[in-house]
Formats: sequence, C-alpha cells, structure tokens
Amino acid sequence: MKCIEREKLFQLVNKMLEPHEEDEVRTHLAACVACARVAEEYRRLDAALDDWTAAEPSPWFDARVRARVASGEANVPWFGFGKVRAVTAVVAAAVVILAAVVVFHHQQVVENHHSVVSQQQAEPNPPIAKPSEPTEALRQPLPADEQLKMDENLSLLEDYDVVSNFDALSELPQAKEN
Amino acid sequence: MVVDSDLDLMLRVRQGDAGSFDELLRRYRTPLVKYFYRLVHDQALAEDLAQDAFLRVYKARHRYRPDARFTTWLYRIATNLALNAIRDDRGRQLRDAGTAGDDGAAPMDFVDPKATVEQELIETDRSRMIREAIEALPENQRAAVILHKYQDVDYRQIAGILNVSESAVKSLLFRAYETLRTRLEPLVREGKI
Repeated sequence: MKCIEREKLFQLVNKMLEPHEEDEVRTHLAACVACARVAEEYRRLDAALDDWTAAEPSPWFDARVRARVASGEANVPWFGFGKVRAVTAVVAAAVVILAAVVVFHHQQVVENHHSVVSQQQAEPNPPIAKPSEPTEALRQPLPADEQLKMDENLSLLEDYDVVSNFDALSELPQAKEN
Repeated sequence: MVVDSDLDLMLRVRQGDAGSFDELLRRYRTPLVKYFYRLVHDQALAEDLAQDAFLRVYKARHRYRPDARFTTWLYRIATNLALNAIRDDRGRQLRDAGTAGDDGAAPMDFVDPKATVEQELIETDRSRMIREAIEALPENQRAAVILHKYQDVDYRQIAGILNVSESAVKSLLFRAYETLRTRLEPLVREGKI
C-alpha cells in the first residue's frame, strides 16, 4: 500500500480537504500506521502551538484610538504621514532661519558696541562726569589725611572683593562701633 | 437581540456613526493587538500598530466597499502595517533608542509597565520556543500561520489578506508547518510541549 503524501495529511488535520478527499484519506489512515503517525504529529504540533499566549490590550487602548480620531489625525489623507513630515520639516527650517537671524542680529549689536567703545577710547578728553556721581567722587584726589588712612588699610583695599563691594565698605565703621 | 454584522457597522461608520466605529473597536481590539503582538513581539509596538490600523479603517471609511468581508479588509491593513514595521525594524529602533520615536514622542507615553511585566510572566519556555520557531519563518508564512492558527481566519480569507491564491495559502501553511514540526520536534514528540 502506497503512503499518502504528507501535504494531504496536513490538510486533513487542518480541515482543508473537500469531503470526498477527506473520506479517502481517513480510509487510508485506518489501514496505514505510518501515515496515521504523521497525522498524529500534525495534531500534536497544532496542540503545542496553543501554548503561545499573547498579552491583552491595555485598558486605555480604546480611549487612545478615540483620541487620535478626535484629534483630527483621521482627517489626514492616506498620504498624511508624509504630509505631517513635510510640515515638520518646514517648521524646523523656519526655526533654523529664525535662530540664524537672531544670531546675526546679536553679532551686529556686539560689533556696534565694540565700535562705540573704541570710539570713546580714541577721544582724548572724555566728558567729565558730575562730581556728585559716586564713581566720579572716587576719581577725585583724596585729601592728605584720607590718603594716609588709605595707606594704613592698603592690605584691606587690595582685596578686590571688598573694594568692589561698596556696601561692605560702608558697613565697616558700624562694625567697628559694634 | 439582533447583532449587527461587521458590514452593517462599517456602512454606518461610512455615514459618520461614531457608535458603530466604537462597536468595531470593541469587537476587534483584542484580536488585532494579539495579532500584532505575535508578529512583532513587542506589546507597546503592537498597541501602537493596532491604533494605526483602526485609524486607517476610519480614514478609509468612504472607500470601503461591501464586496469584501470586513475582517479581510481589516487584516489586510494590519498585515501591511506589521510587515512594514518589521521591514523598517521599527520595533528595534524604538527599543534601542529607548528615548523617543521619530515623531519626538517618548515611547514611555504608550508603554504600559504592567503589560510589560505581564508579558515577561506569560512567556514560559514553551511559549518562547514556539515564538522563536514562528519568528524564524519567512514573513508570508509567519503571517499565514498566525492568521490561521491564532486569529481563526480561514484560508480563503488568508488568500485575500495576503493577496495570493487559495492554493498558495495551503502551500505556504504546509511549508510553514513542516518547518515548525522539525524545529519543535523534541516538544512534539513529548505529546505536549
């Protein structure tokens, strides 16, 4: 007795045969141990595949789909993903151009500032500030007794942080009183 | 109580009935997410692709023709999305990048930590062996096996989904099962994996 081709046995197990073919194969299987064993292997394989489980959708799956539909994504035509990318590219290009303009403008401002400073340095007699201004008062020569006190506190005045902090200097006499 | 057919629901969706779309979503969200999961083996990506599939159904609602079964149409959309994702290796990119997708959205936006843990727990050794054996199949065979075995889609529909003849589907399935029988032979011999 000639064995049946394996594909027919597979189709029997997977219900792919026409009724008359199925009857033929079943009749053969009843008499052929080898073919019956092959058919049984296909059944076992099919049963074994049941063990591959898959996770369920997350509880918020529906809400996400509805949100995406409501957001108008669904109105984007079939080629929409390309369109979205094109819009993104245009926006990105606009941002780059804007950044370039800002940088260029900033450089212009810095250059103008430098030219003004160099012009001021080139002038032989810069305008004198009013004596009432605190910075100008510092430029005035000190009286002799004040100069002496300053010489005595030279080590203190050498400290740039202290010199640059006028509030701290103003508090010195108070600290002495306390 | 009369249950509306998928066809009736889809025709109503075409007329703008949101409730019918919700009903289709309810019916097919689980099969579709599981289908994608088995094709791409990434829960977050599977959900993302399933959302894309439903969106495409909604977007194409005006072009839906009732001469094809709704599930054939749905699974054809889903299969194209999944195979494109596999070809683009999108899943690997998302996992490797670990930070953001190409749209700038962080994957964590849609990753459900609980689902990931669940995914780890459910994957027993047997499950892993089967998955690896099926993942090693060529794309068309893999899709055919998953549709046939896990989605309960008959081979006539599979032919429509994969755009091949019915005899080609039978042949695809036979070759796939022969490969699986060889790869899973020690387990099949035990009778129960």
